[in-house]
Amino acid sequence: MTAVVLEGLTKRFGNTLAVDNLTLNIADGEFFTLLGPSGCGKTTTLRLVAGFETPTAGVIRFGRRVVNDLPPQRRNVGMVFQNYAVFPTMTVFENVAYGLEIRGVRGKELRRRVLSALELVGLAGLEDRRPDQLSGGQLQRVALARALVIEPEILLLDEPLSNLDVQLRVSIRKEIRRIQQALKITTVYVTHDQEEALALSDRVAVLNAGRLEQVAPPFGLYRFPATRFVARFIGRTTVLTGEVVSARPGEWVSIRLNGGLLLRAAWHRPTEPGQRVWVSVRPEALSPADLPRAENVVSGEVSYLEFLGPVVRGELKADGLTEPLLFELGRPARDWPDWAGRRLCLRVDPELIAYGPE
Amino acid sequence: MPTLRAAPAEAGFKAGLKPRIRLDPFIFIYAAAGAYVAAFLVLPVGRILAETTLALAEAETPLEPGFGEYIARITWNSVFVAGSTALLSVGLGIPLAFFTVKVATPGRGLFRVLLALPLITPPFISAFATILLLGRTGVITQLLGRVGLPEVYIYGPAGLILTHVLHFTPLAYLTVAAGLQVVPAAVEEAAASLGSGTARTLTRVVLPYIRPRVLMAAVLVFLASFGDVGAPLLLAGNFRVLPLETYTAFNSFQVDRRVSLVLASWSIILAFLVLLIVKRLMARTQVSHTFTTRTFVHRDRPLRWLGLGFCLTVTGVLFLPYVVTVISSFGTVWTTGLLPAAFTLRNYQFILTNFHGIKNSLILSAVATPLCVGLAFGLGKLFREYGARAGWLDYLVLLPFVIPGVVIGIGLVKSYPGFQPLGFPLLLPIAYSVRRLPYAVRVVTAGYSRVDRTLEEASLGLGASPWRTFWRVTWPQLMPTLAATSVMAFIRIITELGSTLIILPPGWRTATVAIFYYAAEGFIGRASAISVVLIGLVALGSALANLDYGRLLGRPRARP
Repeated sequence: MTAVVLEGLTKRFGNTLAVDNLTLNIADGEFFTLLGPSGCGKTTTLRLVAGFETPTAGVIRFGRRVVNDLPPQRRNVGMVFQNYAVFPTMTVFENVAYGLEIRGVRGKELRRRVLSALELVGLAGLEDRRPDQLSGGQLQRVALARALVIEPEILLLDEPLSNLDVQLRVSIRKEIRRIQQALKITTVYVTHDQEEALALSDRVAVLNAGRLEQVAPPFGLYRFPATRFVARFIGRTTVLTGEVVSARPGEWVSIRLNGGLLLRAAWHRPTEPGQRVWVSVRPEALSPADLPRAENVVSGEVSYLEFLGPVVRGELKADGLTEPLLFELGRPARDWPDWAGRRLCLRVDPELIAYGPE
Repeated sequence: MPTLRAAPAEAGFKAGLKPRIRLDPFIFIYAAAGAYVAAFLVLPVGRILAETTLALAEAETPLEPGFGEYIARITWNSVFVAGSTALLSVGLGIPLAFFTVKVATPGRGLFRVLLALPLITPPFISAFATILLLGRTGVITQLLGRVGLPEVYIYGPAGLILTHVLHFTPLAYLTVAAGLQVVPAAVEEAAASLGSGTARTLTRVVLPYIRPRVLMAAVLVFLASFGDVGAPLLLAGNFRVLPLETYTAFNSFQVDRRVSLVLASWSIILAFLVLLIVKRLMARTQVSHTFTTRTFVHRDRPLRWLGLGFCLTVTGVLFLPYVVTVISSFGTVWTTGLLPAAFTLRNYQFILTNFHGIKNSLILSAVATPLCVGLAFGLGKLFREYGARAGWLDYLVLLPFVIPGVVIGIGLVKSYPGFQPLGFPLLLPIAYSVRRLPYAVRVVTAGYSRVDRTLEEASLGLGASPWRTFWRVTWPQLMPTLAATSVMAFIRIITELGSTLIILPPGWRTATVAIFYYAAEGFIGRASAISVVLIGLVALGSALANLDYGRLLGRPRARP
């Protein structure tokens, strides 16, 4: 059981800065996710932790030990790769046994531990199969068993689900979470899929162009994004720009948006009148309103509408806004609400608005 | 607002795009290629087998007593030489590949280029160099004599194996290296993260991963050594091997004429057997991987220096034959010293005034190359379109690779005796085109596979005919392949010896045959000089083959 500390971690490839001065504290037993678009440095960070890359600057610590110069084979981390990397020339049993043999485990003990690892990932009975007789999902389970069986201090997962189809992704995702909870193993998970990150993690770090944007638990990330990038990247939202008109700390903030509309948001982060801010309005923050002139009510023409079963989703070209507002309304009426092209009044819930300095 | 509406499916047909059942115009090209293969490969090989059966069935006198033992002995000799060569070459090739692909050995890029060079020269130049080095008066023999060591007797299996190992190790090396280059880094990283060190990862993970490649390397070297007639001609002495015996029996008037037929048939049967075994082994050890990524490179200092030492030594030894050939080409007589008695340009003057050998080689190659390349493109397209259904043809086209050149030559001469339209020995270029077809088809198939199928489908979907699609979409993308195939075929053709020796019409002595005669008659300097010119020609060819033709043709380079 080990905490992982990154201090000022930097990795440069030629002229590109893949990881830029990254500092993170990952707690013992935590499920920690590195999330970001491709090329944001998340995989490089993971490979630095695993020891496949050496940092240009900064320190990596496992617990109190600095591991910067420790080769990967001596770090005792379990790694699961995007392409599974299951040894194609060995059976499932031999794959899982490989790391144990290196650690001097032999005979009955070896067999017991390999079988129990396979049991854990739901592959009991398949130990004599060869990799080319397994499906993608099964291969990924072999890779997971192989990484876990050596009882690593840290489990590293590099986009382990991205080569699987959607249904399998969801079921293996549950498995990974279940196993992680059962073993209480410190886990660093890399993904570009925000849903995966939100579903699995204790905390998520959002990276962009090698830099850290925000670290927070999934709810905090969604509800209180720290930057415009995070607001846009996590979930669906409309991000607007405006200026703080007045604020009462702890209660509310009044913001004049570009285009003239005045919006009141619940206070959640310090700001003062005159500050330029971005404002994120989640689609579910909008609900039908009766009075067009009331506070936080926007009216405009529905420019786009789609029916998605439980909800209708659309865009409102609202008066006093420069950008169309995304909305999502649940429990549609008995009939398909044919609002396309019609005028609509929607109220914005101040509790569901996030803002932050530009 | 205007909307783009999907047209109903029938609209396209009404507009005259209704698919008609049309004859694929490529049928004619496929038919021509098929006929060529039938006439100049299947028929000659079949004819040898048929004539052998007839000759044995109708014979009034049985073959000499002890003939069976004789065949068994020379077969064993051939297998022994080829097998030892394969083992030793692969044994050297694996560490070479490891140090130049998996280790950041200083100068590994240069080693990769250097190690590919010996492949382009014909093996009998290596045999000739072996004599210069280790013969009665060879440089190394003299050095050994000075420190009181006995000479190595090279006229026999030792000399043959040595020559073949020196010559074919690069082939094994390149095959293994190509395999190492596609071992995904993730596989080795997975091993490392499980605690596996360099040696264990290599033996437990990497080598098993590339086992089919190692096997392939061994088979390639075995077949190349098994079918070679040039080195045995110069070095075999009393040690009899199969292709050489076939050649001498065919050329001799004293030997029972059935002997060469039986030996040729036996070679064909052995070739089929080898091909069969290879296919089985390959199928059993095939590793399926669908992804390619970066490769893992070791950067530890001791390993890098060990790599440098090993690569330098082996490359140095492999290049010795070429060094002595070049020195000897500028020498007068070279018998007693460590260098020739005097240096001169007379050998080169002589070749310039007696240029016909090289001229004949150039003419014959110039005729054979387009035949070979055209055939390869036709067959390549056929394989692309009909894939699995043309599998047996694919198998057939591999045959010239496993059947010795001498045997193909005998089959052609027997099938088309005296075939000389307009006094031109067309049979030679035909033999060359058939002999080198497997190489050309391999390069062309690789080229076709790089052309994205969906591009062709897009063209067909837009209403273009298969013919137009090929010329407007596929063919422009094949230009680099055309260039590469042509150059490769040319250098393979100009260095051919086996079928040349059999067919050789009067007045058409080629450069390869000239080298051989000069060497046999003791004009070592002249033989060296022609060798150097020939090496120069093929080196020039390979350099051309490595140019970036896309750039030369003014196309932007594809960025990964």
